Amino acid sequence: MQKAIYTTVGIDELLAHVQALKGAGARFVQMHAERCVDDGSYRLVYTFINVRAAQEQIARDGNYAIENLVVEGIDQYQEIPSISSYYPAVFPFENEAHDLFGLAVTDMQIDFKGFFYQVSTAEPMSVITPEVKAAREKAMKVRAAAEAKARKAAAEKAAAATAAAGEGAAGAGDAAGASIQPAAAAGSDAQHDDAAAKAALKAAEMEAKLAAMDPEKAAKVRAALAAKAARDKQKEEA
Amino acid sequence: MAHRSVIPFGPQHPVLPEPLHLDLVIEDDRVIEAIPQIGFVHRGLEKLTEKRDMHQFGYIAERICGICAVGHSYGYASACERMLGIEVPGRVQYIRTILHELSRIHSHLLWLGLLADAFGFEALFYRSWTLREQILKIFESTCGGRVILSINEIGGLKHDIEDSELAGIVQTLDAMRPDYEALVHTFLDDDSCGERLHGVGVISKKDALDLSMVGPFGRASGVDYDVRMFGDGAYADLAAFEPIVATDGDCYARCQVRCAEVTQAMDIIKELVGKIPHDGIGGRTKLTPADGARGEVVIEQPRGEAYYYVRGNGTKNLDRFRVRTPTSQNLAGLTHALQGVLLANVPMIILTIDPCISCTER
Repeated sequence: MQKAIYTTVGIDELLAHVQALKGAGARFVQMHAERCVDDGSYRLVYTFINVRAAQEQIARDGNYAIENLVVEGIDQYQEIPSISSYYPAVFPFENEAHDLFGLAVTDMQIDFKGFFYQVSTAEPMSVITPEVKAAREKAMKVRAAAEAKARKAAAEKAAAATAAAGEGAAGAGDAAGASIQPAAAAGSDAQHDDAAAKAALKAAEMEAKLAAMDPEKAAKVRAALAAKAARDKQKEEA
Repeated sequence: MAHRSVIPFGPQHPVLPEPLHLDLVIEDDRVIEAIPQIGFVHRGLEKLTEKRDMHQFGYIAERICGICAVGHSYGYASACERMLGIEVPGRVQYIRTILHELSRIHSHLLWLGLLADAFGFEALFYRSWTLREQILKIFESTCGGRVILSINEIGGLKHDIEDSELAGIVQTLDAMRPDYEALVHTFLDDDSCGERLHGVGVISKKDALDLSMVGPFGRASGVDYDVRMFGDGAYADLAAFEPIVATDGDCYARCQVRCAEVTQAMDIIKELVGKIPHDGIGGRTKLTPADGARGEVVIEQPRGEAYYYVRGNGTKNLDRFRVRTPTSQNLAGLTHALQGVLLANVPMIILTIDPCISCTER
């Protein structure tokens, strides 16, 4: 069974880690860059397999590992040391990271100086389109809303459990006093609380729906709801 | 002192099937240095994950290459399944592996034909491609397509291949064997082939390891590495698997390794068909990858180890898809193999790494 190990390393520790892997007999598999949509930073992933270690591990427990070194939070103009002195086969990938992502890889053994790929748009893989940004924001909001909903549901469940426990205790202690309270008044309070709880739940559900919507559409819905609320208030006053 | 000059070789050249450019620095008729350049047909497929959801992207992944298409869809689907934590049924793994091995046979037969064509043995080229045609007919009868099969999807297969059809595949392969053995005999024992292949473009085992070479190109230099030996998926159920390795490191050794790998693939298919389980074919998953979820696999494509990586971002689209094809990894080995050779042998050496620039220009 194939397993992946991701080790996050600092950019200044990269060469030391690569040297250690080379010394242990690991073979180079690939290197690639990624751009984070949220903060615009870059991430580099270097992949290695130590074939002998993998075979030994398979003999022991049937598993083997693909080892990844991950360098996070790279700024576009930050210098990235080339690992081509340890693994010459990295040269197409480092030149690719330069040409397609605009990353500054230094000391490459074979440096095409930006002419490895013939591209019509500079650094095409680093472009974050508005559609991608909007989809990402929407996903984050949906996730936040789902988490908020789950939290609320958990809180309501806990409150209901506490209330049920309280009512049980009160019912046992104040059975005589409770019987003399006016039944109509008690019913009215309960109805009022119930209506308020329903309204609150409806508002929370609407908020979750709005959070999941496209931001522009959500703004329009909010405006329509505010206008409706104003109209209802005017009617009540009249 | 010999006169030194630079010959721009490709991207359009009669001996190059794909757009690769080489700056060949030569002294007289000997190559001193070769600097490769690609990027003429780069398609930006990795960026397309932004516009196509992860299920639609399976069709794009399959179109990375017209020869190892099955392997690309297999690798992509496996990486996505790993990211989503899906375990596919055994039958799915078996059918994927059988199709992948058939793909290896057709790829190697295609390559053998091109090799014969490169040294001017047209009858051998014709015989190789006639045999390859039988594999394409198997694909057509079982999946409806000759190259693009579109059978893999994330979570399983689109349709099953009946046991009777699988038995038919084994029969076809058994019937092919005598013709294939005659073909191999010509490639490996005929003087006219041997003279063009022996001692040409030699790479030592040490250099092959240093240059991280993969596939038959590396194994011909003694690198005993084949991803299948790790026993992933259906390969785990094989009675035995040993990578096919040669030690000479020349064009002849590369031919030898590929010839043996075709027979090995036929044996693997026969064994798997005999053991195939009946536990369903799964189906397209409805799961969405979690934000930051990652999946990666390596598989042994006909040209060597290929790497697939996917990263989810909480939406139906992937944040990043990465494929590293065998040719990208072998470019360093190619430049090394070309150093010091005669100019006339350059096409032969380029061909023996079996370059797939379409894969590389994903």
